[in-house]
Amino acid sequence: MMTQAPPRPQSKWPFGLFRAARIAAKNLFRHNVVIQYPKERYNQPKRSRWAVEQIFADDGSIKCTACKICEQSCPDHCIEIDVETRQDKTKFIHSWHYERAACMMCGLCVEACPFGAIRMGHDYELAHREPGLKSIDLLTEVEAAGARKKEAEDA
Amino acid sequence: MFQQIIIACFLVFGIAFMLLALGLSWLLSPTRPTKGKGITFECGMEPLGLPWVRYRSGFFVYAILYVIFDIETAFLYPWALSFGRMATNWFLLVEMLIFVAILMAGLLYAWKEKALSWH
Amino acid sequence: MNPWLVALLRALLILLVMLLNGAMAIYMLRKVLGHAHLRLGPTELGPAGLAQLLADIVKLLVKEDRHPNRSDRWLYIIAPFIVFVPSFMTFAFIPFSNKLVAANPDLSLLMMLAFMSIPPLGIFAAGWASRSKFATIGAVRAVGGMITYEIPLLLSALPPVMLAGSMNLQAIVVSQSTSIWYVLPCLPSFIMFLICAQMETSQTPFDMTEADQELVAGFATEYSAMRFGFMYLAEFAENFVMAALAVTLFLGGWTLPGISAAALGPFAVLVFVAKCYILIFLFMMIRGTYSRYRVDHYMEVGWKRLLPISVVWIMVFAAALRVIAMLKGGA
Repeated sequence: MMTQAPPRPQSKWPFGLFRAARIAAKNLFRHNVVIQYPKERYNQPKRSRWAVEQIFADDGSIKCTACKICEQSCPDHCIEIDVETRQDKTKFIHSWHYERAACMMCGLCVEACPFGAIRMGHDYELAHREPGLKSIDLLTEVEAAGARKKEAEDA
Repeated sequence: MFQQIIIACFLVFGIAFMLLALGLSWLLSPTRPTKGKGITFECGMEPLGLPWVRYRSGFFVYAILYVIFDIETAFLYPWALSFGRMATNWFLLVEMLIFVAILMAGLLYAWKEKALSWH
Repeated sequence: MNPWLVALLRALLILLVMLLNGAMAIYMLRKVLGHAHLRLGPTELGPAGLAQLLADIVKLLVKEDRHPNRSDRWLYIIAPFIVFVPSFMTFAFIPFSNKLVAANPDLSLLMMLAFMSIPPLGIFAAGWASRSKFATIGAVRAVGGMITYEIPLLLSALPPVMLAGSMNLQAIVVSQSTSIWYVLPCLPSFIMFLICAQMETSQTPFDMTEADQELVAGFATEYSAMRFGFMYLAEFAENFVMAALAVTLFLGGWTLPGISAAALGPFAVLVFVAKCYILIFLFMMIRGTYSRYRVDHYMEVGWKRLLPISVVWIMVFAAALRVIAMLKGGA
């Protein structure tokens, strides 16, 4: 926000009336600031925060290692990860559950994730009629990305 | 006489137009009274207490003062007409000045007695 | 021709004028207020939102007309009549051009102002009959404000009467074409008239009657459908009447300086309507710019500032006229 000049001291003459009239008269010729929503869309800033999304690489692989740090950091407990750790210490995510309707889009989970696996999305048209979209599964039945697997590949 | 006829016609037309529009509305609108629709509005709750809420007695003072000054205005109108037609003597002016001064004294009294201020 | 037939035709014509004016004024209001607030007014229905009014009228016609259970039935029904019919009758006295004036009695200004004093009574009746707290308070405040500002309105219409020497509106307009427009010698009266007009039509900065954020719809809270539509239409009719009266008394009516009535011919109507709409535009801009006065503030302004100023100004004006007459007669 631009810094504004300090307010003028109040005078006993009604000059403010004329200043207000001038502003209103100028407004008549200024371009409208309201976005005609269905026909135009708002250009969002780069860092605008909407619902959480998983980041998928080009080949469809995920970065989530099911470390559950995002689950712990969420103040509203919106994230619930159902993960199974197998005997060879690899993890299998059964579901990455996200209460989208309860999410307040604070971004703490994205900040907390050490692997950069999630991000705040830019889609704001989240209103829906079907009841099933209030809480969704972002990932179902996938292998978690593993640090060990990377080691195995290097080796 | 013609002028009175015209004004009477306007009165009749005004009432007839309103009746026409209200009649059209009566024909076209549904009538499904429910209990909730008949309750007066009080921000969503049941109305508490009597609807004739006590309002300032100051409004009564305003009404009385309005009557007085409206009568003064009624006297000023024919005077202004005469004065406009023949602004030729001081007597006319001074006479009305005295009348207005007496009424202004009344207003000044009401002012001093704080009848015109809100607190 | 039969005088009754002529009278009926004139009344019908003026009714059409009033409806047309209502339509234009409502559309203009929404667009002007919109643009003054950096938004567009109605844009969806019709080209540039022109059919919005039609949609609103249809909506008002088909809405259910519910009255509160405890309301005073007869008074509730009659109140919109008391509000609307006198507003419509004042249209009779407005001189649209040299020959186009529906009723032209000798005291047309006085009759017009008398009819304009009746709507506050209807507003109070509406609020009282609704038997609702919001309506009662809204009605009391509305009537309190309107009667307060009624007196400066009446008194500020006097200097043109003094200058013209007649209360006939047509005569006032004609005498302005021979001398100058009365706005110049009676400028304080003009300004006071505009302020009082803003109050009489319940527009911001004096719209405590319909302070939407505070009192819902004030006296009209319990009115729905077409009854509410009539209160609304009466407000726009009053708007035009106030502007027309200001134009007639102060801005020369249908005359233009330097052009005779015969030369103007039928364009006089256009001149008059254009002037009226310029004033209506001014009212709307004031409505869209300033914030609302508090009740006690505008009551105090009305009684303690406007009333003494209007009375003192009349006396000063009369004295000035006398002095000028003395100088002219003497010299």
